[in-house]
Amino acid sequence: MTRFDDPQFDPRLADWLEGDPSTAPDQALEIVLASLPSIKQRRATRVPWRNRDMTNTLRLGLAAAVVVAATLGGLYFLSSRTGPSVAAPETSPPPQSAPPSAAQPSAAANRTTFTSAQYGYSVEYPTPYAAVPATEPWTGSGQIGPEEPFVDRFFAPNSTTFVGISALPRPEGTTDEAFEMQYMQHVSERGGCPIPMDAWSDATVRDTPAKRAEFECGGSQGVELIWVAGDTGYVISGDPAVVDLMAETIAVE
Amino acid sequence: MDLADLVSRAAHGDRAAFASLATQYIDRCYALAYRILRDRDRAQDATQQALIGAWRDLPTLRDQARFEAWLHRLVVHACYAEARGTRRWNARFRIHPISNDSAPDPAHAVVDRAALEDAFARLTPEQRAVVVLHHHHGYPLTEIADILGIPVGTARSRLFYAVRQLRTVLDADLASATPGERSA
Repeated sequence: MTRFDDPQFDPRLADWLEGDPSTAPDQALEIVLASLPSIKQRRATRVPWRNRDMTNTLRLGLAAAVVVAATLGGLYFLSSRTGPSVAAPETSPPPQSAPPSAAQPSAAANRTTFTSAQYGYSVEYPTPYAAVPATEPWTGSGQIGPEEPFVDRFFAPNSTTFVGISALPRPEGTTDEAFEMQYMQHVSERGGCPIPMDAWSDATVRDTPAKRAEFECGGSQGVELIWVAGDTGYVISGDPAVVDLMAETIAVE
Repeated sequence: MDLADLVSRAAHGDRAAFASLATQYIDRCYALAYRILRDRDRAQDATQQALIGAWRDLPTLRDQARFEAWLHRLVVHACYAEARGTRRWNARFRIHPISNDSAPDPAHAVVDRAALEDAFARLTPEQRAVVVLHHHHGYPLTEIADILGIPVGTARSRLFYAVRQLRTVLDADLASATPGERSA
């Protein structure tokens, strides 16, 4: 009898799996518990509008507020670029009067330029954010995270949104594509919030070919971009809206 | 103290609460890891890696009621990392020959276990994870898709091809082990 039509196959498979060991060695728990004091917990990177408890009314209200803010901001932005022929409505509030919100970056939001002492690039970030520069170079291990000293970090005022940027010299003799592939392989295997290899797609950062992936981390969405400029690979990761906004302004030496 | 309280307190840095969670879940994590990796040491490493990752990332877990499913996801991904690190090493292993004088039943069960072990080792880690989550933990495909962060169709496809491959290998092994029975 072929097993393709064997109705007992699935129970047999389950029985076989049941027979495997199911008790962890004692030292496993001891090792985990002994490790806790040396491991910092990550900050929550929750995005308010993705709260599942949010009511539809509140969701619609926030969406409307975003649209109004973007419209007013856009008008202000256009008026500042084209001069008096396209006047902003007199009732338009200046962009800085809008409540600072990491979740609502717009073209009108004030931006501050950050120049990385560690990596040499410059980038604009929403002014309400707090920039925490990297204090040591990236060696290639670890991942872009809010606690990592090799990451230039940008925190929203409410500390719920984070964007990180880091850079790594491309090894001599390695092509841009191979370098990106190595990085993608690295993040596909990382312990926290891995990004599957097939999640990456082609993109650009300031006209430079890049790879872009969307991922989920602890229930929040994130975006990661990697590209090579000159002899250096750059990575920016974090809240999707702010990552894309900042990637448009990043300039490398 | 109930699970929600433990998770909430652990997410706010309470090590004792996390220790209670770890004590409660470590065997289930290990059982899952072992069934995917088929190796005690690597299963232990993956379990430790997942639990340490859980402590580190717990503040980012939004739906704390889904702690166990989230923890299973960490275990599966830790297993992927372990499996990738040993792929070349594992490739040196050869399939164990099955003795031709194996009796049909009940010795079939013995043949099955050895053949299943070999057949399972040929699956990708991603396929193994779906098989274990479905056939051992009893998760439905929708839940598996949620745990692994993949579309339901992908989970269904992985399970289908994994089971088909297991059956094919078992058929071939059984045929070569009991040629007399096949012609009977």
